[in-house]
Amino acid sequence: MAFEWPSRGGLLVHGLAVPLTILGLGAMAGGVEALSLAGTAALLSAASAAWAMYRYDREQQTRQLRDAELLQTRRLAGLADISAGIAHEINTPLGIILQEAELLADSLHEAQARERDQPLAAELLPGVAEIVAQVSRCREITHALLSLSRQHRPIAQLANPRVIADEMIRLLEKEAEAAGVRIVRHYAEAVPRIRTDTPLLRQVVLNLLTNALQALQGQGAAAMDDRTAKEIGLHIAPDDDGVRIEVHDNGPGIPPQLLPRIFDPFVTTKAPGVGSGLGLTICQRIVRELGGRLSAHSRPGHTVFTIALPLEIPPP
Amino acid sequence: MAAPRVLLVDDETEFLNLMVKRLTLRGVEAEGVTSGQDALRALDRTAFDVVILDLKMPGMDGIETLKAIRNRQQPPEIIMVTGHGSLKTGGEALSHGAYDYVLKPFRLEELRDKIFKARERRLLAGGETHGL
Repeated sequence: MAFEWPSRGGLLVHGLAVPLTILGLGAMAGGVEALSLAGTAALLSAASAAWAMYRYDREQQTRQLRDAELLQTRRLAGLADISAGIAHEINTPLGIILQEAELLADSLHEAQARERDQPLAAELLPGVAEIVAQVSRCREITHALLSLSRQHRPIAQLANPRVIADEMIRLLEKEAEAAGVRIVRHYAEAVPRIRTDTPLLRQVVLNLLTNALQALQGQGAAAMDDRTAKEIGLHIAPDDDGVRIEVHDNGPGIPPQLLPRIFDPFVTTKAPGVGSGLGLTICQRIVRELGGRLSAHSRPGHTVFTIALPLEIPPP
Repeated sequence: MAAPRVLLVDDETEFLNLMVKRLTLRGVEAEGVTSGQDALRALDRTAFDVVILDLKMPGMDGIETLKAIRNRQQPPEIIMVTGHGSLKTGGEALSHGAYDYVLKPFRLEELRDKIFKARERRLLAGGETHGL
């Protein structure tokens, strides 16, 4: 996302520049002997100061990141509560509209059998079908809104991330093939098993793969260079304290102005009517519940969503 | 540990009977019904650990049945049976709380492993499990 860890190497090099300068000054001021004593002392104290600075920087950054995440979590929780209340209220009338429309469709089908009523029935049926389709879409949205506020109580089971990824790819590969999209696996040889909530992880992986596929099928992708083969890459590798699952695609990318808000509800790059606009919000929430972190990077032609998961779900 | 109690729901009777027979031979206590409505009736009557649910069924389809089952008190875990090319319904099933999938055609061992994993989850969730 917008925040990036500075590379550890970069900071260390910067930190060491100070003691090395002191060492140089020491060499100029008095001979080699003085350098070996005073220089070493200076080197040690400067190195320790640099290390303290580095530690301080890191702690500051960690705290800022934690504060930002906490703020985002609280904001989202408040929003989720309101949305769930509205979704719940809307669901009942939607259910009634759906039942009435289905009843109407049944009556019209019966009327079609009577010669006298046939033309009118034929005229009305597509309209009723459209009502049913639109109400179903509204229910998909209310369902997603309710999922947003649902507190999952993750149940940890031993899982092989590669197997989960493979299974989700199988669910997607027919559509991918039809869209001319190649799915390439980049699995590290030694990927540890993790204790996580497998159905929740499946949901996240499938959602990210589906987004990648839709990005390659969408309007932006139509403008892609024909010589570029459409590709989704699934990378799985051990991480510092767990496993990292990355979904790459070479689609048009997420516009930079949307990227910082991509996990917010209803922020989407998809055409109207495609998806609920809540998929990534739900995914981020789930990954947090699993003790991990979901992040996104994008530039034209390369988008990566990264799920970083711990070996075990931490206690709440 | 007692054998997991499994309810299979599939409108293809021959396939259903064969699966019930083969799973029974592999240490699963299996019973079959041919519609979503019958599945709900069976669940009113008996406690099951896992339901194996065909996604495509006439009448009450797999997703509707899944929703109805997951809305019950202490619902059983659900494994969906689906064909390739059902990405949308597949995602929908997961978001409605399906535990896992098998894609037709599948090996019986694969389904059996998933059944035991699903039962383990039910135990961990603290759900009542038949025979324990």
